[in-house]
Amino acid sequence: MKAYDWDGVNLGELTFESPWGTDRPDLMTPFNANARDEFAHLYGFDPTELFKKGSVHYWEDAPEDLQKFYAYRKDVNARLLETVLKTFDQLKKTTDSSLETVITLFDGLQHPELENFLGFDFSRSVGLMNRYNATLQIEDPASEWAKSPSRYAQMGHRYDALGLKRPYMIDVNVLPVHRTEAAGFATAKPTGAEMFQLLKFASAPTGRVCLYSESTINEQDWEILPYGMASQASIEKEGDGWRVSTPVTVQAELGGDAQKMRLDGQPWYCLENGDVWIPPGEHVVSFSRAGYRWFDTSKLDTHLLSLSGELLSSDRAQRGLEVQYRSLQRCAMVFDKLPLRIYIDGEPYKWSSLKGDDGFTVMAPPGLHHIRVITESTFLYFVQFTSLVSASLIVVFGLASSGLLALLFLLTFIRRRLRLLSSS
Amino acid sequence: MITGIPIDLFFLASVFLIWTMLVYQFVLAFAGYLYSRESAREKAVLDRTTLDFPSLSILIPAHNEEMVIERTVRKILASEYPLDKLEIIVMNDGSSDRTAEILDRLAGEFPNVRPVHIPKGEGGKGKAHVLNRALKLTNQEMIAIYDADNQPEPRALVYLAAQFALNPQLGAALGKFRTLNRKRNLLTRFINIEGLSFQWIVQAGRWKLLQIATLPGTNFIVRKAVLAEVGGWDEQALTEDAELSLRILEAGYRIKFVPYAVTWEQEPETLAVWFRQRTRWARGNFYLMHKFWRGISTAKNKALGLEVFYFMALYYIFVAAILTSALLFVLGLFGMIFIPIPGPYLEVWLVAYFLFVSEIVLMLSREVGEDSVSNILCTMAMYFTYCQLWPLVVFSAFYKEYVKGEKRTWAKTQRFEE
Repeated sequence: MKAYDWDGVNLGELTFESPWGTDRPDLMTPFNANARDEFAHLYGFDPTELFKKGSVHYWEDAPEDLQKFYAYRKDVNARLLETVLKTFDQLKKTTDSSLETVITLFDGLQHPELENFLGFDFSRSVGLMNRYNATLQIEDPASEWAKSPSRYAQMGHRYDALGLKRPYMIDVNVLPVHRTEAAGFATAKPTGAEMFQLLKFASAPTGRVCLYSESTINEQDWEILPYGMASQASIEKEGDGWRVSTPVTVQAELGGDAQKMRLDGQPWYCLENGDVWIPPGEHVVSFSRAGYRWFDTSKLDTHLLSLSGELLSSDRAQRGLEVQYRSLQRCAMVFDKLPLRIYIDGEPYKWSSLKGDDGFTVMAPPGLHHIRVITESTFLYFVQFTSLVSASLIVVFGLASSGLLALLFLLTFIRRRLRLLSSS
Repeated sequence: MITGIPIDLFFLASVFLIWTMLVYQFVLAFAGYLYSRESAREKAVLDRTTLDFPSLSILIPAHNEEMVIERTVRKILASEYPLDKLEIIVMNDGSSDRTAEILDRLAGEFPNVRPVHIPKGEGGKGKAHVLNRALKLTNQEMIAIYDADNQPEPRALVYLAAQFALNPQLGAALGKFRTLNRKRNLLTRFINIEGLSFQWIVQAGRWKLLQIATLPGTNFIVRKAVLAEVGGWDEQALTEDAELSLRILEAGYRIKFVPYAVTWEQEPETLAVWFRQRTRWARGNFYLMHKFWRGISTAKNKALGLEVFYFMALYYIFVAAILTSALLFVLGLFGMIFIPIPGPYLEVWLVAYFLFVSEIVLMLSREVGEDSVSNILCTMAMYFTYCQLWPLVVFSAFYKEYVKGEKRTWAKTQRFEE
C-alpha cells in the first residue's frame, strides 16, 4: 500500500465461504487448531462436535450450541475487520494520505440469514466502519440479480435510514449472472436499458456507485453510463439557453460550437469543447453558437475541464480560476493550463501536476474546499496575449496578401486570354 | 514532458522570424509584379528606339567546355548587337578536352573571337581569377560576362547595354536566365520554378523598391571603370558575382535587373550536382556576409545594409527559425514537449503555404507557358520537397565552412548532354 499512490482500498468478501449454512458442513469453517482451541476455551466443547451425529452438541439436536458457533464466527470476522480497518487508519495517519477505505458487505438488512451462514455481524461491522471512517459498499446476493433494477431504490431507502457517517455505495455486478432460459433475460450480462436502469437506481441515493466487472462491461454500454448517473437531472429550454436542475454535478453537452458560456448570467469557465459542468441546484446556462471562433480570447482564460468530485461553484480569478468543490476522496481536477500557484482555502498548496492529452491534472485534497489556481504570471499572460494577437494578425495578413496575389494572377490570366482572342 | 515559458518564447520567436521573412518576401513579390508590368512597357519603348551602343567586351571563362562552348559563341555572334563593337574573349582555363581546338577554329572563322589559352599548370584557380586575367586584356568601355553554357537571346546584349544610356548612375545591369533543360526531370522543373520566382520576386522586387539587384554569374554588363574602381573580382570568393555586387553597391552605384534581356542555361540534372552547387553558393555567401557586415554603416549605398542583413537572415536566422520550429513540431509529435500558447497556428501554417504558392504562381504567370497546371502542381509540391532541402544545404555548408574548415575551392558545375 505504501509502494504506490493509491486513491483508496476496497475490501470485499471478508466472510466465511459457507452460503449454504449447515447443509454444507465441510464449508462451515473455521476448524483449524487455533480456532477449535479458542472456541473450546470460550464455550467448553470442540466445534467439530456440532457436525457429529450422536454427539450431545450435534447441531440438529442442540441448536443453542450452533448459535454459539455462529456467534463465534461473527466475532472472529469482526475482529479481523477491525484489525484491517485499524491498519489502514494508521497508514493514513502515518503517510498523511487521503486513502479511502471501502468495505463491501452483503445486504444484511434485507438478508439477515446471510450473517449466520457467512459469519459476519452486519451492525457491528457498520459500527466499525463509522469508527474508522470507512465507506460501506453494499452488494446484493445472487438471488436478487434477476429482479428489476428498481430494487436498488428500495435498498437505498433501507440504508438511508442507517445514518452512516460516510455516504454508502451500491455494488452493481456486471457479470454473466442472468439465467437466460429461466428468467427471460435476452442476455446473460446486464446491458443496454437494464444497464442504464441499474446505474440510475443504484447511484440515486448518494450519487456514488460501484460497478463490479471482470472486463465484462459491453463496449457500447460505457457510452450510456454517464447518462444513467445523471438521470436525476432535468434540462429544459429557456430563452436562448437551458434551465438545468440537478442534485449532483452533471455535464451538459451543448456542442463544440457553443461559446461565450454563462451560468446564471455570469461568465462560466468549467467546460471543455462545449461540454459544460453544472453544479448541483437549479441553473440557467446560456451561450452563443459560432462555426469558427475568430480571435478567440477565451483561450487566454483558465478553464476547469474536468473534476472527479462535486463542483459547487466557480469564478474567474486574476490570471486563474477559483473553484469550490466537495469530494470524499482526493479530487482530480483537470485544468487547460499549467498551474503556477495553487491556494486551498487561502493557504498555499504543494502539488504536482500530470500532463494529459487535454490539460494538466491536479490532485486536490478530499473534503469541502475552495481552490484558487493561478496559471499565469504577468509575463506569461503577455506572451499568450502576444501569441494570440500576432497569430491572428498573421492569418489576416496571410489571407489578404495571398488573396491579392491570387487576384493579380486571375487578372493576368484573363488579360492574356482577351489578348489571344482579339489577336485571333 | 517539457513545457514552460522558454519553449513558448522559442516557438513564438521562430514564428515571428519566419513571418518577418514571409512579409518581406510578399512585399518584394508585389513590387516584382509591378516591375514586370513596368519593364514590359520599357522593353516596348526600347524596341522603338535607336541607340548608339558602346564598345563591349564579352568575357567567357571556359574550363573543359567542349560540349557547349561552340554553341555559346555562335549564339553571341548571332546577337543584334553591332558586331563591330563586340569583342569575345574566351578564357580557356587549362582545359584538357577539345575546348582549345574549338576556340581556335572559331577564332579563324570570326575575327571578334579572341581565345586566351591559360596553360594547364596555371589554370583551375577559379572563375574570379580567370575574369581578372581577362579584364587586363581588354580596353573596351563595357564588360559583359557569360558562362560557357549560355545561349543568350539575340537582343539580350542590346537591352543590357541600353540601360547605361538610360541610367547614368548604373554600375551594372543584369538580365534574366532561363532554364534550357527545365523539362528534363522533376528536379530541373523545380529549379526552373525556383529560378523564375527568385528573379521575379527577389531581383525585380529589390530593383523596384531599392534600386539594387545581385549579379548572377552570367548575362550581365558592368562598366569597366566601375570594375577598375572596385578592384575587379575577389579571388577568395566562391560566389564572386554576389561579392562583386556588394562592392559595386558599396561604391554607391546601382545594379539594375533587366528581365527582358534573356539568356538560357543548363541547370543541374541530378541531386548530387545540385547539392554541391548550392553548398558552394551557401559557403560563398557565408564568406561575403563576414566580409561586409562590419562595413554596412560606412557604405555609400544604404541599401547595402539591407542586402547583407537579408543574406544573414536567409542563411542564419531564417534557417535557425525553420529548424527550431521543425524541432519543436517533432518533439511535440512524440509528446516530449508541450506548447500551450493560444492562437490559430494551423491557420498560420496554412496561410504561409497559400502565400508561398500564390507568390510563385503569380510570378510564373509573367512568363508565357510557365503558369501551366503541371508547374502549379510542382509549386504546390515544392513546399514539402525541394524547399525542405534548403536547411540541409545550409547545414552542410555551415559544417564545411566552420566545423570542418574545408578549403574553399571553386568548382565548375557539371554540364549535361542536351
